[in-house]
Amino acid sequence: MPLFDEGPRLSALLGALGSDDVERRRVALMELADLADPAAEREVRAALGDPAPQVREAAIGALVEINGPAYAADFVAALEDDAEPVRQAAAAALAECGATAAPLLTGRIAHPDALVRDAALRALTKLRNPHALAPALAALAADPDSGVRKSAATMLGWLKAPDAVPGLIAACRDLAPEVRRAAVGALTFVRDQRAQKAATIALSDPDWQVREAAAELLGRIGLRDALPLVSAMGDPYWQVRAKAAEALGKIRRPEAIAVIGEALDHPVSNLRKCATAALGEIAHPDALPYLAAHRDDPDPDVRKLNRWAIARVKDAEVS
Amino acid sequence: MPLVQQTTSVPVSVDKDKCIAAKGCTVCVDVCPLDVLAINGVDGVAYMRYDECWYCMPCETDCPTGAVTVSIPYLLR
Amino acid sequence: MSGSTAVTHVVETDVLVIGGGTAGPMAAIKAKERQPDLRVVLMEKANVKRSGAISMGMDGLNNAVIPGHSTPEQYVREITIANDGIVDQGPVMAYANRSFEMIQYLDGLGVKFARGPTGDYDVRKVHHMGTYVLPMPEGHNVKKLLYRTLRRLRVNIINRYMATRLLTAQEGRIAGVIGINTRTSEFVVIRAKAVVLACGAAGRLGLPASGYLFGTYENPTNCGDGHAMAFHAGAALANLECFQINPLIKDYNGPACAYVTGPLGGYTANARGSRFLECDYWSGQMMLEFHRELESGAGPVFLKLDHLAEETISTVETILHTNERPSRGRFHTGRGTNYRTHMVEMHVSEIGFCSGHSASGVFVDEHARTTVPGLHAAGDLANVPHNYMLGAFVNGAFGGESAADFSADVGFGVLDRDFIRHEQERVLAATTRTDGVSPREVEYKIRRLVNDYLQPPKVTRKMELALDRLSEIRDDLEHLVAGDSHELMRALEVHSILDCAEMAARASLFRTESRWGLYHHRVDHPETDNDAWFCHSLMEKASDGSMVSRKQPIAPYLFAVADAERQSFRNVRVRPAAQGD
Ligand SMILES: Cc1cc2nc3c(=O)[nH]c(=O)nc-3n(C[C@H](O)[C@H](O)[C@H](O)COP(=O)(O)OP(=O)(O)OC[C@H]3O[C@@H](n4cnc5c(N)ncnc54)[C@H](O)[C@@H]3O)c2cc1C
Ligand code: SF4
Ligand code: SF4
Repeated sequence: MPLFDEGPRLSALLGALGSDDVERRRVALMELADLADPAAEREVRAALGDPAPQVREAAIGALVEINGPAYAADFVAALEDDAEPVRQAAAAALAECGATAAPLLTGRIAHPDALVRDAALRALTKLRNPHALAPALAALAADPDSGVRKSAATMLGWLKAPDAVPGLIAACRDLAPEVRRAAVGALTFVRDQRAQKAATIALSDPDWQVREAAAELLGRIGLRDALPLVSAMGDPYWQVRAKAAEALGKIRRPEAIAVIGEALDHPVSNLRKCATAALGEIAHPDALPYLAAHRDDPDPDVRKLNRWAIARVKDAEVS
Repeated sequence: MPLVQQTTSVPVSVDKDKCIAAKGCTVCVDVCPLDVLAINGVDGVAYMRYDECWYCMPCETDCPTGAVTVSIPYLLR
Repeated sequence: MSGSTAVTHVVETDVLVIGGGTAGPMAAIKAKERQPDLRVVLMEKANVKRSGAISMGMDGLNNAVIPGHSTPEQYVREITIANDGIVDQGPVMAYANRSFEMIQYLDGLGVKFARGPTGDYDVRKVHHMGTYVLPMPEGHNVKKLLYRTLRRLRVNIINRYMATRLLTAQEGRIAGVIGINTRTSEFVVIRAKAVVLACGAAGRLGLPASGYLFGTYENPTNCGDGHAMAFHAGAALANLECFQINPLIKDYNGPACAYVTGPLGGYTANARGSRFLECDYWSGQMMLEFHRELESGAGPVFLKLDHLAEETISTVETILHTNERPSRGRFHTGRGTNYRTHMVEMHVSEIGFCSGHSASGVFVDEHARTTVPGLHAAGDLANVPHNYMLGAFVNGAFGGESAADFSADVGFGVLDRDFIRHEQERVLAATTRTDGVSPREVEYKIRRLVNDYLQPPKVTRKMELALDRLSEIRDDLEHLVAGDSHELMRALEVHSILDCAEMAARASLFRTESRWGLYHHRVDHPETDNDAWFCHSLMEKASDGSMVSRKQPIAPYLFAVADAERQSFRNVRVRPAAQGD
């Protein structure tokens, strides 16, 4: 079947790898990536040592297509390349290597290059590799790069390892807001007082997105004391109030009805929606006057929820 | 009926100095779903040959040298 | 060039998949996984690397049935309601049952779905009742991963070959396909024991408001070749009158809103900035209200985001301007539109056939089998409703597996040499002329007539006029001129577009009621008539070659749907607040 015979194409491309012209070698590697024929393995690996960085980068791309995980060690070596695009390509390649790369990557969480550290953490996140716990905790505590600390926090959230809790709690006070936000989110797997306390403190964080994450966390893990959430209903950002309302709904605290009820008059309908839903969740007769007064909300989604909430309150009264 | 050729604008442009089609690259031509790009046999540079573009951008995204720019076709602007 | 001297490659394969977009690659992959020593060929008009609707990735799964968020039963009910009851629930249930497994499979290939802080899927609520949207903000690598998998499994890929006709053997079963290279005009005849057809939507049916032939909602390679080929091979097509019409960004013609911006607080508004829809989920009812608002003094219609926080708007921008349709940011910049300060004008799309978004297409069962033995169909061209991307993957998988099984039990069908010779003559005819009309002109004319006469609201007399005009154009096909292989592809596409336009008109005339909101809104039959029309309409090729329609009963439901539930979906328009609804 001549239509599928790629033999001639393969030999032409392998020939082009010997060209003096950098771009020809690079183009040949791009084509070899397309072909993904293991028969080209030896030549493509040799191109990892090409003098031109764009050729080395293309060689990584070709190896990924031929059989990425088999070349994880090559990619790790390429993390030391002088050229940043090559290091980036190597990092991206490692992220696609799956479990084979895990042992190679854990050693790189303490690499001198922030790009490599970050890439290692990101790749390990999905693998949920327990051996990455200690180096990630170290990175979270002391890495100079906030992007790396953030990736460490995220990885620890995915790991759901009890040993990570103290480190994550400490990271809730990190200088960089994106790290605090990731750390607060990561605590979602923790079902005890420690997470509640950290989230409560984070509810008064200077950054609104951290406060939002804290309110969301409290909704997920529950909180015995509703007071901090009740005061979060006075947050200047409606996004925070919306999450606080959701959280109060989930823990079904009637004492929050008054503050949630106030939110029913807010101009942003997303907040009114969350507040109405929360009153429905709480399903307490005290919510009825608030709900009844807002039957005619201008937003249909809110009205729909309002009907549902009123029905729930009434059901609760009956039973 | 007799036929004529007419002038029309095309939304994709290629930077001659960056394009390495002369070195064997055909990436943009390969990926275009509408098959409207081609390599010019004279100067060895990719160009848009037919005004039939979905402004979907694989040509620009996949070009290894950043030579391709996709604009919105005039009629849509 | 002439039929006799044309270069013709002949290929034999166990399973042939036609169309390498979304459903097609998955069909090929699953056929190979089912039976690794099978020969599997994937034939594609463009290049599998970047072809089809998901060429640049997708914003998210619109219909993910994930345990803990929704159940298959709930999903089947909602799809039944959303389609005004005209649904065979079997295939929908089969999809729903496999949807989560497919997500995990794609995840295993490396497709990135949105995750919450501890790595669980971050499912969002959009639909009326259940929760089905799983965003994929980094979804741009889907095609790359599919391509890699096809390579690893040694599926034979034939790029830049356009299928023009399916080949059937005497006893009516499938025998293969004939196609032509879009750059060299070489033919390929592929003999296959079983075939999966996955050529996507018929997206070049109506003309976009911009007037630009290729400024369609659908990827314009999907011009209805698959629908036309299925018809000519004798397969039944269902409910073609249930058009696809989508609410889009005006002129840009890309998707606007519901799935991405909805969960973040964006919504469809009228000129006053008020909501007029209860739910932005795309449906015929929603489109009807959208159309009414457009036509009323309260229109035009806008996507409203300007009330959202800066951080939320940047999130929206990153998603909408990097995946799926990345040129969108350029379009807005060109017009000076900023989500922070401007509402974005929206409009209705041109009409098309697409089960991804509505319910029409080649009639299939839960194994993606058509009415032609050995021929399967999946994705936007098969009639499993509201398929979207995940449906294309799942039904593609069903098709690939069923085709693998079918091919194990049979030999090759005998090819009809005369048919092949006639087809080669038909295909090359446009290259033999020097005088005539260009494909572009004929295409423009057909699609302009589709807009004039078939775009809903549908009017009987107008649709009859459409049939008159279209039959005149059928004569013009004999005058098409193609100057090169590329134009020849366009000329052949014109044939498909014309077939689809005629099917659209005839199917619409057949169903003498209104249903599916705007999709089949007949002004002179305004009511839904469940007594006469609670059924599929099937279109087939009669022995004289003409298009005939018949009624087909709906398969007994797996889950009954109460009338009240059905009504809830119909009320998508906001009622005045004062009524206290
Ligand atoms: C702009 C846009 C946005 C969307 N957004 C979403 C979303 O966010 N989420 C979601 O779930 N779904 C979304 N969808 C829907 C989803 O992408 C489609 O339902 C799905 O991809 C359809 O898959 P398919 O295989 O049927 O078609 P495609 O993927 O389009 O594949 C069809 C293939 O057939 C080929 N072909 C056509 N004719 C021939 C021929 N004659 N011979 C050979 N090959 C041929 C084409 O080149 C193409 O590659 C969107 C669709 C579009 C257009
Ligand atoms: S992809 Fe870029 S470099 Fe390659 S041919 Fe096209 S424009 Fe030239
Ligand atoms: S934008 Fe899309 S259709 Fe236009 S030239 Fe590039 S790849 Fe082709």
